[in-house]
Amino acid sequence: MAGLADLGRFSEPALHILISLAAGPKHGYAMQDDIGELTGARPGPGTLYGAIRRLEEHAYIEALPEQDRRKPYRLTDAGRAALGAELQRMRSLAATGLRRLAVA
Amino acid sequence: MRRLLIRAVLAIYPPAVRERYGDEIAGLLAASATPGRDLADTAWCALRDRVAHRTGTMTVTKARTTGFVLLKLLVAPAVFGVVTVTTIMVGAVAAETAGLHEVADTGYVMALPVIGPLVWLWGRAAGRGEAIGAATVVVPVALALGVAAVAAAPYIGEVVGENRAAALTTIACWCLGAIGLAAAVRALLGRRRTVAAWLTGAAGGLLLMEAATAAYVLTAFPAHAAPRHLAPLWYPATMVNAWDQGLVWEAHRYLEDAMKALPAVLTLCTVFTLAVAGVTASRVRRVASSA
Repeated sequence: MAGLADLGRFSEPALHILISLAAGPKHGYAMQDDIGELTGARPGPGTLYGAIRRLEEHAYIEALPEQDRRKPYRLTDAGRAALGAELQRMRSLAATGLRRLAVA
Repeated sequence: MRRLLIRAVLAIYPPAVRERYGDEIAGLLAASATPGRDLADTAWCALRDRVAHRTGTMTVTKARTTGFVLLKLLVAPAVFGVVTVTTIMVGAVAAETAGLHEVADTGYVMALPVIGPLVWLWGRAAGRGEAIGAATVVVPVALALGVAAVAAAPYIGEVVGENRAAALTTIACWCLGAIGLAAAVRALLGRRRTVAAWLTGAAGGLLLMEAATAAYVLTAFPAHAAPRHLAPLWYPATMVNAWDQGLVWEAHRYLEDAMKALPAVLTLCTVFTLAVAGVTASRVRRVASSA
């Protein structure tokens, strides 16, 4: 598995989307709101759907049937694994950084 | 207005992306509380997707052909200028030899009826023979860059206006106007309104040149040196040698001396742009009707 780094400039919004969908399927509006609350910055539609398209291409997320003219998306197993791996990597990185800060 | 902008921004996306996500993106943009920011974000992402899509699907041969077409467009204004000046000189000598002294010094107005049709044919040939993507934007922008390159060149630049800032302002104004005019002509031709299209092209082209000339005069001359109520005469004055006594700096100078070949070159650029727009519109219509 290549990981989110493969998504280039969309890797950060893609991570936010995966975290947002980890709580359950959401459509675009709900993802925007949720990511806005998580990060303090609501992604623009171009950024959001640029990341969604790449996540779909990597089969990390998939579209569900339309509900009220809105299309929800959900995490796939591959997406859940990629998110887990990315969060582990971040935790390990953060732990190393914090440890070094404590030493300094 | 917002719906129009949303449609315009979505049009930038590659067709496959627009088909798949267009409705969802349009929904978010329509409901956005920060439409300016979101439209800019979407336009930027769409543009990058479009560039990535073109780069991804472009072969080396296609890239080389595109580069060659752009190079020809960039060089075209310099060719227009050289041919115009040469025609004026040859025409003047011929007129003097024939004893037509009144005609010998008439300037661009003598050369353009000869060169204009040739430029029109060149534009049609270029539009027919070379696949110019987004021709209504690419052609005016490339021609404007070609004129701007001449204007910005040291020493040589004066052949398209002795005031460089005014010349560059004029070129920028012409570029924006030409994009709008070409798009209007193309849209009318696409709806099979041929007469309206060419009337718009002719009247719009004239207005465009009036506006471009006015941009130069307003940038280069203070109000007392170029009385504003004479503005409609500025463009015609640049076409005829020594005709415009009193238009700028009273009788001391001629507007044609200040702007030099710029109005003539931009006039030919307008003719070329309209010719390409006409051909590409016809081609799109033929493809649509055969589909």
